[in-house]
Amino acid sequence: MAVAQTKQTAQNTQGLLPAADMAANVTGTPEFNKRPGIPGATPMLLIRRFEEKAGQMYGMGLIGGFCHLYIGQEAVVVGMKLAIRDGDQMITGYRDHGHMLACGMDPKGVDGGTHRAARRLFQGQGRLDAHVFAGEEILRRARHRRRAGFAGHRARLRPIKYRGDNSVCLTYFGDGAANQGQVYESFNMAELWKLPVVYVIENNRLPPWALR
Amino acid sequence: MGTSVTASSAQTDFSKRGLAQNIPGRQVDGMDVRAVKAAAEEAVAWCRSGKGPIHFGNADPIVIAATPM
Repeated sequence: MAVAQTKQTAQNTQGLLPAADMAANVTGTPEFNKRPGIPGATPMLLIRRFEEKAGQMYGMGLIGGFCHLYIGQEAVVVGMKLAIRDGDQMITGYRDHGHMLACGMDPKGVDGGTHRAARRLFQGQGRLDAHVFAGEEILRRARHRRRAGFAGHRARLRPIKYRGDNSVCLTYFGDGAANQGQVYESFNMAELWKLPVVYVIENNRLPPWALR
Repeated sequence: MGTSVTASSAQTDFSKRGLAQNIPGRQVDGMDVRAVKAAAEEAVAWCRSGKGPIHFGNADPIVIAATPM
């Protein structure tokens, strides 16, 4: 398994992935036939259309504050979602319209979290202040700042481990958040406690808040 | 708004970010849902491997870095 090899590599003192491994990872793409392909394509299209409309409404001034669109990254959340099962959990940052849609939330509910007029429905709560429950899966949004996601994920992961129900937690963050210190605190504790977490770093190559 | 990742990150291969803590990582083409799914299945299986109600401590964290290629 490539992961096993990578793990072995990680324990070597060199600490670098061989270029051949990375190339193999990229080229070893399995084919989709129609049956699994449609479950992949449908949510990606939904996310793209939703974000196009959200961007349009943001431009019209109907959405206040920031509007972090997920256009171009749809394959990440949908591909990850296809691989997990009921009971697995997801923690996201702020660029998470796609994650909510991929979890099966009603687009009207997602829109309600962003739309200024509908925000009254949340009784004055900010748009990022919602814990979102979709079916059996639990998706938790970072509260306004990226770092909160990491504090939250430690609190979330300990029970998973002690429950022993063999579920995993997907923790999404971007290339901007990856430069923050909390990420490495989190890495340290996750490895120390052997927590079942998959960190998904969504690198869109343009962190909105860079070092100044 | 925004700064290029090469101007803000010393290490732009994000799959290497966990190596100091022995967390393995891999790069995946984030524009290809098939590649992401395949990597995710592998990573999730890695996390679940050998883990049970009695044997805590066998599940390892893993990093997937999804980058458009």
